[in-house]
Amino acid sequence: MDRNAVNAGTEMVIDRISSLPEDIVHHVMSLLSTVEVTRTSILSKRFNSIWSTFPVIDFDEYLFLIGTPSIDLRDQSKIDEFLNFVDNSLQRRRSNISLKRFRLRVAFCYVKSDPRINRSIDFALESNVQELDLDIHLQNGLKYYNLPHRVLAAKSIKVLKLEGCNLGVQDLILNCPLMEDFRLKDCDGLKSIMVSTAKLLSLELDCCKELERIEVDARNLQSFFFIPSRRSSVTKPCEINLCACEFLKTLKVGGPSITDKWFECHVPKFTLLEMLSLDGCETLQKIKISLQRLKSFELLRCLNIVDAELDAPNLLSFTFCGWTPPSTPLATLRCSDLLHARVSWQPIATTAKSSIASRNFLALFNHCEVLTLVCSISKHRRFLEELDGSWLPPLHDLKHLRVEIGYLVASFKNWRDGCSVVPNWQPVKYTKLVDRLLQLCPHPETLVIANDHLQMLIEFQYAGRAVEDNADCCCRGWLRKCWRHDLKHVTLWRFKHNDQESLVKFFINNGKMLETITVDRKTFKVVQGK
Amino acid sequence: MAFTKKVTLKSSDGELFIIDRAVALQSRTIQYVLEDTNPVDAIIPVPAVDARTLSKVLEYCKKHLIDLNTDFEDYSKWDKDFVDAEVWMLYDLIMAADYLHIPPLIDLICDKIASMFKGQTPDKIREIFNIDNDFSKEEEEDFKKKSGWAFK
Repeated sequence: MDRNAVNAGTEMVIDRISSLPEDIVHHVMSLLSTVEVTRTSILSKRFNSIWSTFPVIDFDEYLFLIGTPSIDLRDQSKIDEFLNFVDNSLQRRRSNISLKRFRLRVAFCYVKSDPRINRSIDFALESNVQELDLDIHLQNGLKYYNLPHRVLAAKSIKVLKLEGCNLGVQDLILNCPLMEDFRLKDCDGLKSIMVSTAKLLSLELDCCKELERIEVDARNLQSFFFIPSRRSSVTKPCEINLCACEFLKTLKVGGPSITDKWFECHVPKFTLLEMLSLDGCETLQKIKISLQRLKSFELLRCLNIVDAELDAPNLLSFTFCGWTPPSTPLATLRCSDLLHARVSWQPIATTAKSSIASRNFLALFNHCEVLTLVCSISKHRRFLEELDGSWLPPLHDLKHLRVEIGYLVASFKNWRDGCSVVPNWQPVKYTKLVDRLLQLCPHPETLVIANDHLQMLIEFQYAGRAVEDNADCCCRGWLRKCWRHDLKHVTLWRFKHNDQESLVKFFINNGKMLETITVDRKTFKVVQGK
Repeated sequence: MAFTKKVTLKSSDGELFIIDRAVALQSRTIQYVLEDTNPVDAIIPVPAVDARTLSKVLEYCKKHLIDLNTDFEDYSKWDKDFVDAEVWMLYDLIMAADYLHIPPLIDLICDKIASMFKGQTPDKIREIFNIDNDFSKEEEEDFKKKSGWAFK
């Protein structure tokens, strides 16, 4: 008799999931939320035992609150309920199991030190936790949670992430032998940090305003991040020494500590650097970068840069955010042909001098693959006005231009003042915008206009030759004639009805060789002269 | 060194499967056997997997041979149908995938089993997987009380 047929009949009523190997059930559990994982503990004795050895513990108060109707996060009894749950769950677990990961996220703690939180941290440390992630937010005014000293001395930890804590030491010497990844965010109390662990790969110090000195002697460090504060531009300078980190691949720094001198004596040493981000380096004036491996460069809110040279033949991504027209952010740019450049538009009063600077700046992107201009919806009128200036360089070789206009686009003002409400705005006039953009980029293959909800696309196809005529004022003085003279076919995607109509008119009136227009899959023939 | 293009696998119940080498190589277990011994025309026994399960696993391996004509979406739809099976079949499959060491198949089935746990009460989960509750009433109540949040 066929054995399989017998199996098929009986297996349906036998519990086989309980006899799966423990690591497979743990794999399944790793795909469930903490609440769901906890539920498995009462299924049966076998499941209880598997649950009690699950090496990942993740308590997130925000996730616990999801689905609970109109919860006031400041409600103490709710926070107590959560912390009691944490406490009880840990008491029910077996304690001699090595933990891979322990994460605790408390949304609104109301005391600077809580025995249940500290017990849970102790539990993790006693279980030789490898990755410890504590994110404890205190209610307003209390500021920072007092971190037990034991955490920083733990020997088993490979990854340590702390947020919202007071470390309780002013001068930290980090020498845990296994530490690979160390991150502090919005932590207090620390004045200096000295790192001397050979295994450390990544060091991130975000919004630790009090820091005065960072000394890193970790030869294998690949990634370093230090932004003293995101809000105010006034923070104390901090002495940063990364000279030993010659294998650095990613560097993100900001604040007043990044001076010309610091930049000069550090950055040229990092010959393996692939990603460089300068964010809010307001004292920085001159930068000269010559890095073969650099793939990505961000120059954000570094307002006082007067001279920048960038020689990075493999650069694929460049992001700029600051005043536009910019003072003179980039004098030279050598990059890959595949560069995607992204420029956030923050208009200031245009003067003749700044116009020339802007012209030179934008002209640098003539040969890149894609140029993206970003503008917040409240400023788009100004953006349009500025695009009208005769200062615009025609980017004849640029094939793909993208414009993003929206609420979500971070505006510079918002960054300075914290998040403010976007004031009243007027609807975007797409035809006018397209007209202006085609002055900047006279021969695009694609033009994308994106807002927060939707991406509108225009595709262009050209005839091989331009129509012969002399009486044109549209591109007088240009070496090459503009799209009006050789556009053959244009395709519009996803524009609203009104905009569609006016864009079709615009292209018919201006495209001297235009033969067909396609609007969302429907193609129309254009009869010239009508 | 000339590689044989075909590989023969023998299931626990003695059935033979002749498949392309490239299909078999998706199993790391078989990959190691082939690398170590390079058996020419030999039969590789798969003692932990019966014919019914093995044919299903091989169906997966054939589909997931890197095929540039199949796009990503196509896979996810096919995968979804593939694991739309009875619980006992999933159990056999995951044991086979574990034995043969095919990580993407393990991920796929674990994902399916996890989805059957999601949003269910403990009673319902026991029913789906035929799990026998061997706790006493008191023990269960005690757990529920202590981990109140999880059982609301």
